[in-house]
Amino acid sequence: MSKTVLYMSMSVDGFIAGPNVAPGNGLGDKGERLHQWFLPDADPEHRTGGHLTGVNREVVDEAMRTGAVLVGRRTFELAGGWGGDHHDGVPIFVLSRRAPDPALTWPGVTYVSDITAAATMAEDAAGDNDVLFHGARAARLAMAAGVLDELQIHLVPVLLGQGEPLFEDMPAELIELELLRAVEGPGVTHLRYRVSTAG
Amino acid sequence: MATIRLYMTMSLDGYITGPQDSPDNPMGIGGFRLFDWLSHRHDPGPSKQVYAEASATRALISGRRTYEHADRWHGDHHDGVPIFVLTRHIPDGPPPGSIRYVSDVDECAAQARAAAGDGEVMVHGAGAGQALLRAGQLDELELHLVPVLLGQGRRLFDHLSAEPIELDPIRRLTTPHVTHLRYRVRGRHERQDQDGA
Repeated sequence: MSKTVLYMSMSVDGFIAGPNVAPGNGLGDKGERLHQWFLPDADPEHRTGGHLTGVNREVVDEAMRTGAVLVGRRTFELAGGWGGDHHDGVPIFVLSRRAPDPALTWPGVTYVSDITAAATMAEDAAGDNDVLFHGARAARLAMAAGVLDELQIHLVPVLLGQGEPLFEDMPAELIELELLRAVEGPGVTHLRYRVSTAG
Repeated sequence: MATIRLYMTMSLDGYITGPQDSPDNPMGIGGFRLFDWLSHRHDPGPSKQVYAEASATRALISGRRTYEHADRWHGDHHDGVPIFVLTRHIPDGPPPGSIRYVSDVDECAAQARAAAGDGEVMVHGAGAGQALLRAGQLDELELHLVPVLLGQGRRLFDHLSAEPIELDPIRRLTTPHVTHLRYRVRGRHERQDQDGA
């Protein structure tokens, strides 16, 4: 069955972006440091990882084998909607309660207001493949709704000092994780966790 | 020179306590979950090794909050090693056991290094860790990364500037209960040289 997997680069002190995230500064101040391991030149054309080798290539290849993308509206807009194609033209589901921005609509892009419905649609669309989840704020909703199956954290050896935490404004409830895999690539440690559904 | 290393247990989402930590509830709501890995510290494996290394440190630097929340360790953290409590306000009365109060961070680091000789210095507490980091006195981090999301709480660092500090990974030891990550703080000596220039 298809799994929904959050892919996120994170600093050792737990930030996924620097402070002052805004349009044109999508990763916040100094936040591009977190993506250096796969975007050394900050060229978004390289986000599919074709230039990488070894472990980092394998991990990015896994992400690029996903069969659908589920993304929060904020992340989608900050990324310019990836021009309507994140990778290989797989369907993109954008979580949003507001009407779509006409400039950010493409045939493969579907706006959905409910996280559970969005996850179901994305998993159906992905078939036997996994769903790639992007966006920290949407991930918080997905976590609360119990539709996030795994976390793929790319732990970057840097202290950002300030910025946006992995999950903001979560309820103070413990969510247990199970470490599935830990591998090192140049400049990054890839940690994959299963979200516990017990309880 | 003795290495100064911060030892901290942290949730994957970057918290070192749950919310509402206080002297009566030092780990905050749900925060004691973070220390579950310590119940494996005597089992053969990485956690035993890491715990043994921590127990072999020959001096301790602690922040004031951690010191008070830990009930001053009744004067002895381990093996009677000297404990340097970094605090702006020196408490009244003589400190218990092997404890000394120090208000200047560089002085605190110097005294702890001298006390540890060719051994290592353990740092406890996010406040002390940040003060040492800002002063360019922190050499290494040993983070015990626990596979749990706390959702809220006190973050590992919350008073750092927005200037990234690069780390060099030294070691990763993985168990089902915890991932022990050791990093060297890059450029510490360079920063000190600049400050001294």
